[in-house]
Amino acid sequence: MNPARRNKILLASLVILLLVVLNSFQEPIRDSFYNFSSPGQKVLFRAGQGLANLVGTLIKFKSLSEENPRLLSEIRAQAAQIALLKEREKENEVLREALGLGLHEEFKLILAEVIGKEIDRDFILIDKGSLDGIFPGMVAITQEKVLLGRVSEVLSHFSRVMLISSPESNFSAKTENHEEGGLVRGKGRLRLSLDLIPQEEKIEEGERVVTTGAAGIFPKGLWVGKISKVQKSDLTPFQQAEIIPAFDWKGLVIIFLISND
Amino acid sequence: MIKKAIFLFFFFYSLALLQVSFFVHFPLAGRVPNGLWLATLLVSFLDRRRGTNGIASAISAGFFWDLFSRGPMGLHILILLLFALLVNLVLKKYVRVPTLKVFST
Repeated sequence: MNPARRNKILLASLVILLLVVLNSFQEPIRDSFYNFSSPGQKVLFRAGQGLANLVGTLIKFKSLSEENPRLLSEIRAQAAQIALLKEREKENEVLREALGLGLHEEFKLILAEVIGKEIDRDFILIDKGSLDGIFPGMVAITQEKVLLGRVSEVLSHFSRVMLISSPESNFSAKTENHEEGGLVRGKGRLRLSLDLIPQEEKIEEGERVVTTGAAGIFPKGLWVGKISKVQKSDLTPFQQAEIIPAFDWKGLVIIFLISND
Repeated sequence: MIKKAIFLFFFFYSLALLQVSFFVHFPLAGRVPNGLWLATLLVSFLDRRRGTNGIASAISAGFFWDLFSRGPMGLHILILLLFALLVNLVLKKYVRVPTLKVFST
């Protein structure tokens, strides 16, 4: 046999053998590599974040002087709303005690650190796995109770979280000012849309979107994002809106996983 | 040859770490360019010796791309391997380009 041909057959055989071995020992291979790479990944992730923030600040420097007074005004308006909501919360707790329903319990949370993001997809890698009590389906949120997504894959020491912006994600949500809900769909690349909103609902830009808890996919009341653009058409029974996710991808370092979902 | 294989392995490992942990913070028009794919393309393009460096790069880059992605291991190895072979075929049959000495022996 021709040596060149023999070498090609040998190479093809080696590649097939490699693929079989890799797939048979997928989990331990991935887990070992992540374990080995994790310290370096954490350093690189934080360094990238710091540099991106610096570059972003330099680029936005000019508009900062205009943005600052606007943000201060928004904070004042929201502070007033928070004060009102706190009063209502107190009233609710009193009512619950009176009715014997018990006080609302906070979530039991497991803290995890983001060490990477999957190439080209809306998945993040975190440094907690099955040995830390993580299991598939756990809900991931930020410290501000902003919804991030769900755990999709668990290794011994690491896990993958599917962000709500992944095209594989969809769940029920509503705007704060309306009772009727719609369906939030992930559009990939950190984009979201709110579909199946009845035409008679008057959705406005800037309205906050929160989960409804329907079908038990995500707990009720988690912040999803803000409406950025509403698309209405007389030809369809429903309207659609684009959502800016509430999570700040560039600032994402520490996340929480709900363990008593 | 073994030295080159080890060099490529560690080069693509470092590139994969940078890709998933550092470059993700610098998207261009909403997307982060895939450094593993670009590096494989570059090595395949500049390879003079019958595409062996391109193939080795494709296997290394594909391995690390699979490692830091979901799904079965080997998918991106196969994709990049086919890609490197295609580039090699096109260059051998239809194109004459200067190559860097570092990729020749």
